[in-house]
Amino acid sequence: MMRIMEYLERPRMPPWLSRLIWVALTLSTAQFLYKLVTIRLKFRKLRAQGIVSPTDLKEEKHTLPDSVADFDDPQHTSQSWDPILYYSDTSPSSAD
Amino acid sequence: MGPHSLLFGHLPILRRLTGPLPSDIHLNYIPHLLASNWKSLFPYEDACPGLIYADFWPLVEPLVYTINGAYTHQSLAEVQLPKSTHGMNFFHTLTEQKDLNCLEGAQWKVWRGLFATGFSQGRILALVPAMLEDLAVFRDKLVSRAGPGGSWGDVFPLQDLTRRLAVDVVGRAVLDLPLGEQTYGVSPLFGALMDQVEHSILIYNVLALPRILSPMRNFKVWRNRRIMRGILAPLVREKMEGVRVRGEAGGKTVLDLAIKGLEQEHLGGSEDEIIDFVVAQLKLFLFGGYDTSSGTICWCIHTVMKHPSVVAKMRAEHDAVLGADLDAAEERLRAAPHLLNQLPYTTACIKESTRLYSGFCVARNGTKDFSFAVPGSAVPWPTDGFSVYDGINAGQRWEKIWPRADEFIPDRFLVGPDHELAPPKYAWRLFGLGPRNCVAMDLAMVEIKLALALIVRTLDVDCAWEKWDALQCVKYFFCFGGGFLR
Repeated sequence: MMRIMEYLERPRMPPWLSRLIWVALTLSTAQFLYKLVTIRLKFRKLRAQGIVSPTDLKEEKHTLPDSVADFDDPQHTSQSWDPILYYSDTSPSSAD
Repeated sequence: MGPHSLLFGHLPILRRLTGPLPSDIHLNYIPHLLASNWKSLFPYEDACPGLIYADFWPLVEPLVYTINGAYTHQSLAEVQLPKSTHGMNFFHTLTEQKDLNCLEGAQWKVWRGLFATGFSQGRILALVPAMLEDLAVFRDKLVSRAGPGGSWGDVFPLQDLTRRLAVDVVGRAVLDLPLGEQTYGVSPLFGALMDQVEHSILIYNVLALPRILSPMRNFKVWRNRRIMRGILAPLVREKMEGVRVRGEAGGKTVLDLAIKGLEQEHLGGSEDEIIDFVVAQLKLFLFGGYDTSSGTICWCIHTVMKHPSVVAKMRAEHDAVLGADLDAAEERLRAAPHLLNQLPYTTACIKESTRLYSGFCVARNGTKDFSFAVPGSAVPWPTDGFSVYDGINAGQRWEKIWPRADEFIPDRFLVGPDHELAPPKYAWRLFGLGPRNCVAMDLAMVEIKLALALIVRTLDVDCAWEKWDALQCVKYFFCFGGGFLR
C-alpha cells in the first residue's frame, strides 16, 4: 500500500510533455483515418470504373491440383498448403 | 461477406485465404492464392484477370499484381518504374542500397555496364573449368551421403549443400577465389552473409518497428558489414592496384573485367567510395547465389526426379552429348564448356521447373505517369499509390496461357510457336523482364546445368518428409529440399 501511495505521489510528467504526446497521438490517429478512408474509397472508385479486384469469396479452395500435390509424399498431399511454394526465400527479388 | 469492406478492405479475404496456412507463408503465395481462387473471387470474369488490385492496408500499402506477363512487360520493360521501397529497405541492411538492385538512373547504368560484360554467356562459359572443381566437390559430397550398394542414405536438407555450392561458384566466377565453403565449412564471409540476410527486413508496416530499433540487431548488422568489408575490400583494392599501378592484364573473372572497365569510366568519388560500391555488388552476387540459385537447383532436382520418364530422357541426352562414361563427362565439359549449349532438354527441364516454382518476384513503386493499358478497357488502370508486384507464381501457372499449367511438361519449351503448349512471349520470366533483368542469369543457368549434368546420371534423389519430420520431432516442420539419395 505504501508503495502505491509513493507511486501516486511521485511528480507527474511535465505538462508540455503530456501535451506533446496527446498532439502526436491525435495527429497519428487522424493520419491513419485519413489514409484508411482515401484508400478504401480509391478501391470503390476503381470498382465503379470496372477495374477488377477481388469481389467475393463464395467458396474456399486451398488445395492444389493433384498433379502438383503428387510431387510430394501422401502425408503431405493431405495438407492444405503446398510446402513447395512455402519455402523461406526471404528475397523480394532476384532480378536487378 | 461483402465485396470490399469499407473498414477492412480485402483483409477478410486475405484472412480466409491464408487462415489454414502457416503464419509465415511467403508473400509470393498471396497472388497464387488469389489466382487459384479466381472463380469465387472474380465471379463476373470468364478467366483469372491478368491484373489484380488488392487492398490489404494497413498490413501493406495497396497492391497491383501482374498475373499476365504482358502487363509485367509493360511495367518492367516499356517503362522503368522506380524500384520498390520494400526491396530497397531489404537490401539496405546488406548493401546500404549501393548495389545494382537499388541504384537508379545513370549510376545504375554505369555499374550494370561494368558487370554485364563479365556475366555475358561467353565469359561465363570460359569459367566453367574452374566452376567444375566446386561442382565436383558438390557431387562427391552428395555421393558420400548415399547409402551403400544402391540403398537410400540418411535424410538431410539439400539446400544446405546447394547454398555452399552456390557461394563457392560465385566466389570462383566473380572473385576468382576458392572460398571452400563446401570443403572447410562456414567461413567468416559466408557466416556474416547468412547472418546479415537473417537481419534484413521487409518493412511493410509498423509491426517491423521493434526489429528495426532492436539494439542487438543493429549491432549484428554493423558487425556483419565490418566483417564482409574487411574480407572483400582488400581483394578489390589489390585487383585495382594490379590494374592501375602494376599494369597487370588481370584475370577473366567478373570482378577483373569490372575493374578494367572502372579504369576507363573515371567515376567521381574517392577510391574508398568506389570500393564500397564494388563491395556492395559482390555482396549482392553472393546473396543471389546463396538465396536464389541454391533454391533453384533444389527445385530442378526435385521436379526432375519426381518424373522417371523425364529422368530417363535427361540421362539419354547427357549420354549422347557428354558421353556414356560418367567419369569422363567432367573432363569433356572442362575441355568443351560449349557442350552445355547442346542440352536443350535439360534447359527445358530447368525452365519448366522454374515455371512451377519461381520462388521470388519483382516489385516496383507505381507512379502517376504510368497506368496499365488493358485491351477492351476504356480507362487506364492506375499504378499511382500502388506497389506493382509481378505475380510470377500465379502468372506462370495461369491456365489461360499455360495448358495443363500444374503439370510438369518440359516439352512445352521445345515445341514450335504454333503448338498449343508453346508459351507466349513474356509468360516465362524467371529472371525478370526488361533492361533491369537479372544480370547473372547466364551464370545461374550454367551452374544449374552443370549440377544436373553431374548428378542426374549418378544419383537418385527423393523427398523424405516423414523421416525428416521424425528427426525434427515437429509434425509440420517444413524443410525445403529434405531428401535422401541412393
